Amino acid sequence: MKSFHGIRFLLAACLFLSGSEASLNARETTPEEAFMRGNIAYGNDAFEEAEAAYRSILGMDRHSAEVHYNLGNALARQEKWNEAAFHYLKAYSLGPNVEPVRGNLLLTARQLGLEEDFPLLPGPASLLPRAHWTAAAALSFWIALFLFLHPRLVPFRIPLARLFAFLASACFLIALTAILQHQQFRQWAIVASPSVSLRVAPTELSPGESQLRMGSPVRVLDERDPFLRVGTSNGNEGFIRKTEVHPLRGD
Amino acid sequence: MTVRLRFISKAMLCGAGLLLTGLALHGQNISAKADVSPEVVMEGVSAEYTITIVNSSRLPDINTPRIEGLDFDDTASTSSFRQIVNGRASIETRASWSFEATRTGSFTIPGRTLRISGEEVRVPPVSFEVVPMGEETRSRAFLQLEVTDGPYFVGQAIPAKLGLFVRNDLSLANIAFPERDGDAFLNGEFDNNPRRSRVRLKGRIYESFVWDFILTPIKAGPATLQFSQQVAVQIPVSDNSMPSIFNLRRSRTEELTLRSDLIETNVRQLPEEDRPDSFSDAVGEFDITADLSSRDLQVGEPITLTLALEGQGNFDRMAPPELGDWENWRVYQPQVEFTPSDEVGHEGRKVFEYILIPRSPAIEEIPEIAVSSFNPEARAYETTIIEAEPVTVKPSDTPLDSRSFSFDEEDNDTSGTRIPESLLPIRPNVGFLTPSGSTWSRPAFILGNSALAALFLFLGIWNSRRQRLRHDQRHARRQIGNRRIRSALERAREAAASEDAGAFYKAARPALQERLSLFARQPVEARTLVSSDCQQIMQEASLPESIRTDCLQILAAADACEFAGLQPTSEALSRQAADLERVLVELNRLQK
Repeated sequence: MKSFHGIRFLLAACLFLSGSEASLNARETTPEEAFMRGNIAYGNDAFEEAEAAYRSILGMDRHSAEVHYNLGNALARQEKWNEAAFHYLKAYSLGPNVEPVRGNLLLTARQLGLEEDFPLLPGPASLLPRAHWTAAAALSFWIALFLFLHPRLVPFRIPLARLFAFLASACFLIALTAILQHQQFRQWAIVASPSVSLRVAPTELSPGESQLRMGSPVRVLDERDPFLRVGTSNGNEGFIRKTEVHPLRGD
Repeated sequence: MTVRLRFISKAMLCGAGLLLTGLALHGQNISAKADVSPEVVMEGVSAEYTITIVNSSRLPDINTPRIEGLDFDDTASTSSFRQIVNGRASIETRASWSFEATRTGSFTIPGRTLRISGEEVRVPPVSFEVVPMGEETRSRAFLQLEVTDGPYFVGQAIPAKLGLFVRNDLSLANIAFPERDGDAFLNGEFDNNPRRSRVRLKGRIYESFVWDFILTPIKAGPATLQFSQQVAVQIPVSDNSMPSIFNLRRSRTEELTLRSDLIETNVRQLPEEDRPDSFSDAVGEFDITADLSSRDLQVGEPITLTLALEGQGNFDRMAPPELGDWENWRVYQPQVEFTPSDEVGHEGRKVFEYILIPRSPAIEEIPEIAVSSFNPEARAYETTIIEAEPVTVKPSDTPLDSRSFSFDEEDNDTSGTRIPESLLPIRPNVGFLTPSGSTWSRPAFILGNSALAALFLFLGIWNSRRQRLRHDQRHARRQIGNRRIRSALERAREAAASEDAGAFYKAARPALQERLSLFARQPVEARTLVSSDCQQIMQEASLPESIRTDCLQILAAADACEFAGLQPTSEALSRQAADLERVLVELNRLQK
């Protein structure tokens, strides 16, 4: 009888242990943990491992300026300048105030032989990332609406409501302008193929007007499947295939 | 009781007195007189100008006199008193202004015409003499300005002393800060702690208060300088009215405006010719030295150049010496430190500490530095040349990762185009993580904004209903009435179902009353309507005959049940319940 109880205890313990191990395996790594792992790998000069760790965060549908910036650094250390440029631009788009992003972006541009092109890029609205500008716009919109309409909504009067309403409206307009600037910045893309023809018409047969180098920044103006109408930072316009660029808008 | 009688009798006496005074005054002419006290006014000593209105207690608005050389207080003090002499009542009302003469000579305060109680009253002019302050008065207190002899130059720092001397046997009741007359100079601030001492002057002992300060001429050309100060002194006076055995001493307070002797001078502009480029507004006598923190330099490593000016002069007004454009150097604005050697800051040492960063290993020397100042004693500019200092500059060996950025020589533009020489380090923090995609499409954003929109909609509807109930009486009445009708109808249904005739009619009557009251032309209280009132309302509203009949039947049955105790049969009750519902629905429809 005693041995029977002992076997049952052993079985239960095994089940418990296997269960807990399974649950440990099942637990997903958080973005913060992955970021830390990437930083440690980067510090140990294991740049491929660092790249994988940072990319795993993007795989979790989470991103930030810092993640893209560190990923850009990990790629740059492997001399994948083209991809690094894309992630620096992405970081710049998400956090225009992250100070070293622009410096590393220009350094990458120099490595790509494109130091004339990148400084011509107009920056996104600084001060806040796009998500924060959006929240600020929504908040100031509702505040302005409430202050303008409050005599019809609540049974009391707010002193200086009209003045504050105009101020909130001004904030809303500023936030809206900033969002538009961010939107414009997100129209940029990075040429992902070694040599791309800037065609004069959206056909395969169209002659190339000029050649774009890998890593060149281009602005997506229009979409004509399977081509994109793009403009370069020095004012040229033409068509390239969709597969030849990494657009910032895409994640 | 006795106290009250005494009070009443006193009040009556006072009233009678006033009445008598008023009657006595009535019919007397109103006149005015003016005088200055004392009759001979001393320069710098307070005097008083008084206008007296006789036979009137009213004092019209009188403007403060404005006369050059007399400094009047803006506010007048007023007083009024009544007297009865030999049964003749009189009243005098006075307005007095304190004033002080700022120069000697003859003065006339012009007369004026006042309008009092409809009468025009002429105030006569007053003439008086202002004489210099008497020796005795002058000896009580005086102000003395000591300043070095000129010529003075614009921007020069001139050490000066202002002394207030008050006779030892007088006590000082009040003392104001000295004030400067003349806009060609600026002076340092006077503080609360002048140097105090006792001095003997012309055989008298004085308490002295001395301020040391700096005078700075700011305007070239002929200029005057004088300081004035207001003091109040207590002067002992003999009192003959009391026996000397009591040894009582009295004093009176006298306000004095003291003035220092007027200084007339000609302030000179700093000479334009031979003015060196390195002149930075330093006026005085200075020894100039320079010191370099290191002579073995490295590109990008900052060093300190210390320029020190030591001596006497306008330390508070001199600008940092300009080093000019040094090739291959980055020069920052200096930190300035002044260490005074005296209380007013006329003597001391001023140090300018420049941070310099060599930008090229090609640098071989610290360039020559010229510092100029103007010496008012010599009436000429003096320039000190600090010779070029040889230095060695090594190239930078610090990895650029550890510093922020390295710049190209021509990279001074404002576009923020800074290219580091190697990759800048990674960020240690993950930052603000967000899901990819647009903020607009995130559920939390949509939900939050929808909730706000719904809240606004709810608030709008709620407030609009509230406003309508408040401002539309008919609507409010209808709303309340409908609520009551619904409640009564519910009760009537329950009563009919339980065959309780009493309860049925108790609920049916108010339901009908409420509904019919809404047809009344004037607002009426539904509960007060009796059957005849209901009938009249229905006639006035021209309601259909069938409805009128049904209503009256229900009301009559309710009366019969309530007052005669007549109980209808259960069929009749259920029929009346159906009639009640139908009538109410019809009335509601007609009302709409």
